[in-house]
Amino acid sequence: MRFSKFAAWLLAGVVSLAGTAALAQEKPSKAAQAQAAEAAPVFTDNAICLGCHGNKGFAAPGPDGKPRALDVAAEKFEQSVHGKRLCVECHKNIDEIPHKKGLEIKVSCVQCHEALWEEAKKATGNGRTTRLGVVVEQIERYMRSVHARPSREDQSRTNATCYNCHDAHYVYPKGSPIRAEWRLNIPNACGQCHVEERKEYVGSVHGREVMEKKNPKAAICSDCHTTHDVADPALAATKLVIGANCGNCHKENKKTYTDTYHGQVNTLGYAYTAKCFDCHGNHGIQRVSDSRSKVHPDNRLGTCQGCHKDATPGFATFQPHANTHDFDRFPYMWITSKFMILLLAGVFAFFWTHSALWFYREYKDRQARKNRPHVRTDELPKANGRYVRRWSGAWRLSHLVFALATAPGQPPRHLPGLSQGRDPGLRDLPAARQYP
Amino acid sequence: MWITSKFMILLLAGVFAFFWTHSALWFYREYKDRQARKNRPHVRTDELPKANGRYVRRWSGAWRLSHLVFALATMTLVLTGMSVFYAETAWARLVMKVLGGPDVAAIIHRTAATIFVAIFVGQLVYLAWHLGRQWKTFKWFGPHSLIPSWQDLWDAQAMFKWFFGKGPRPRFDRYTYWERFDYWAPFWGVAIIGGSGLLLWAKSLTAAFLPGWVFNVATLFHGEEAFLAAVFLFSVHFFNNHVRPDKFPLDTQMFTGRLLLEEFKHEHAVEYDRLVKTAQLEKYLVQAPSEPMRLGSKILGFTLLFIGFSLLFMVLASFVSSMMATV
Repeated sequence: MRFSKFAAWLLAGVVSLAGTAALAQEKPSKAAQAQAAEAAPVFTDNAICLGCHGNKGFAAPGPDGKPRALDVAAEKFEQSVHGKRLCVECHKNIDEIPHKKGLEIKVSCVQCHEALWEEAKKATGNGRTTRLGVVVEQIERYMRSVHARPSREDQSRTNATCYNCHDAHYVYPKGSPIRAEWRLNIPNACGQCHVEERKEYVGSVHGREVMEKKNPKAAICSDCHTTHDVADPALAATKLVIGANCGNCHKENKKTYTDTYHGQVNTLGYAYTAKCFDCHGNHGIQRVSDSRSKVHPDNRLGTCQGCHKDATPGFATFQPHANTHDFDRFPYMWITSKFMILLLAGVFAFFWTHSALWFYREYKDRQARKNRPHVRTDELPKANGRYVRRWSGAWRLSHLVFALATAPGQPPRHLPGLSQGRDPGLRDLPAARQYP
Repeated sequence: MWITSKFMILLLAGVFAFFWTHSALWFYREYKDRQARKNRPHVRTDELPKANGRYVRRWSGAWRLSHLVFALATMTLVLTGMSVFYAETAWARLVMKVLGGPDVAAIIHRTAATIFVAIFVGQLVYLAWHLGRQWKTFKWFGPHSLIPSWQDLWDAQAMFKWFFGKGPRPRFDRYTYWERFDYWAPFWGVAIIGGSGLLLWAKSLTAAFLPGWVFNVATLFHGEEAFLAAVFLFSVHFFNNHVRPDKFPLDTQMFTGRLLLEEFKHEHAVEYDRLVKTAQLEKYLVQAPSEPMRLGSKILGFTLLFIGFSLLFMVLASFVSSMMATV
């Protein structure tokens, strides 16, 4: 059977990878794992497992003595992205029935996905492999998140792991309707640990949209806190991320906020000025019109006074989301903005033109050396018109006769170009030379 | 025959080889010299005994000190303010990191603003006191007054005529119209930027008796007017005084207080003529600035120009990229 061969190969790959990884806690030796992998094909059909676990309500007493649900909905599992996997591909430490006593759940999403991605990178790319890359990327981000750190209650486990949020058996393909359904349940998944926050959220404007109206676009926990980069919200960096995430949906309000001093300081990377949730509240956020809202006109001044201790009534009518294009809502802003645009355009249109023309004319004048002190030599009274005598009449006459005597003469035989009328000697007559 | 023929060939070849080369080289050199006008009679104006070395005192110590403090305070205000105005740029983040964060930048900004306004008000008080003593005799629209007169309008008109080659370069008195503009522009600037800045600074007081939208409008005025002031100073003001061909690359008169007599004659011909006519020029003639003063002014001037142009570039580049982002 092709599939089981692939699974066996995969397991071997995973095992060898695990062997090199330094994650060993109570890890059996490489050889022992390899043996387990070889033993796994005992359960080559999920039907064996589903014989018990497929029964709705199947449970067994957990470590705390309370019954622990151990049932899997077979059809739902088959729709999931892992639907064609064998149970034992993930539950690797299950190798006999009945299971060993005191066996713990031991599933590594990470090692399997990293191995899959290594393999996929070698194969030619298609949509599925890209998705596998995203998973590995998310794994890396998760590993750095607060959820991947050891729990303060029990340091032998992390705060949260993949299957706490990604419903263990039912991970659905991106974009599928059933995945949208899973998304709406995220607040409950987070709420398993964050009980107080969930309680507040359920009553909020976001919570009501999600939990009651099943609005797939309304914000769930991860829309603000991020999915895999979850970090301590007391940190400035986290606050900035959460504030920025509000803007993913509330774009216009984020933009107008960014124009205020509060927002500008935020943009610079500092979190000490008011951010979205400082005014609007966080998990229990309500519409402004709701009297429970922190920014309801009745509560506004009190909210301002949270930071501005001596805030006076005018604070409450400051518009933290004003813009310059909505005359009906912000007439003074509109007028101010248009006035300033005209002023700036006017001033620069005039002065830049003035400068450009000035540059041109002054440059031209300089080239003509107009502004350097200069003497008009052509107009100097004595520079022109005075001559020096250099040749006497005897010289001049001799030269002329010489020239004429040479001129019509026979050209030398081997210089045929010279002929009558082209006597170069004629051109040697000295021109009158001027000396200033 | 053979001997004679060979002798003549050699003779002709030798004579023409020498004289034609002689002529060709001569032509080249004489042509070049004519182009350089070397053979035209000329006067070495730079070496004329009286043209150089004489300076006219134009700015008193108080003017120069105020201008320098104004310049430094303004540049500080522009740097710290524009880093917030263009918070999304990489340079703004760098400035904030170097300064220690926007809270530190805010303290620096307000300190510089206080110094700026203090100089501004101090200057007004000094002026009022000074004018108070000569209230009756002072010519309010005379050449020594900074109050604009009709003459400034005629000068500006003449300037445009000159720009288009339709008239001579206008002759100016003590203050040109662009100098008067530069003097009065800060009044508008201080009123708008300083006023709005003060409203935002004393926010609890402001909000005690004014509605909240005042903060919105004040923020808008503050930023836009600051943009106008910064870009105007570092483009137009710099051009008028340092970049235009007659001044390039730097005019140190506002640091040394003195102007070369030749330049004074050229730039303020009307005042020069009057001083000569009334035999008062001697009163204003001073020695050339000392070597340390000359060098110091040059270094200071170029430093300020460099900072100003850097700020201009940062602001304009950010403006363009913010416009591109909205389009």
